[in-house]
Amino acid sequence: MHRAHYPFTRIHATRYSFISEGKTPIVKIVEFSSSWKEGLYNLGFGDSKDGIILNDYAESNNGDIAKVLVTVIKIIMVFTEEFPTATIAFTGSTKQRTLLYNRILKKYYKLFSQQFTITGLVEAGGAVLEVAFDPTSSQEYLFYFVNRIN
Amino acid sequence: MRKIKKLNKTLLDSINNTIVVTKTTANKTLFPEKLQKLNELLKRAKLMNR
Repeated sequence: MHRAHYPFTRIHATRYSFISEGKTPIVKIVEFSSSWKEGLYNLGFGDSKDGIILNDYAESNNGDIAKVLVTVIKIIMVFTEEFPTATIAFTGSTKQRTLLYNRILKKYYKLFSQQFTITGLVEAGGAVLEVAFDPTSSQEYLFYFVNRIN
Repeated sequence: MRKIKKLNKTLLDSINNTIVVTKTTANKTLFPEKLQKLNELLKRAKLMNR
């Protein structure tokens, strides 16, 4: 991933921030939170406004979505370089955003799959299964998982 | 020049506020809803072996 990204800062072990410099400057936070399953982290991502309210539903429309997402991917790469066995789980805060992530994973699948194994959680007959991400399918995923390939 | 100074101050204030908040919430997730959703799904999910 050689596209331009914003410089970011590690605030503490599992939390990073950067400034989206689109139409207006917006502080973004990326956080990896431990789930109850060891080694599996939820990726939280949202806007920090006035340093107090963190909103991951925000549609900031700051005109720099590509650069913001490249920055988030870069942060995932840095985090998983340090914790190579970590599994990072993510989903959108809204259905629209999950679909956006799906489109991005499909579009850049060749590139991503060189560095990450990508899987997803799907509903199947009342059960929840982890399956390989299929870029050619229209399958809806509840969560996406990425694992660094060493 | 004044506009740039004002912008820089706003950015600095924002970063400082964020650092204060994130320090005080260092042990808590900032995105509890998604984490809860993930944990609930994991309870009934059949995961691949890693």
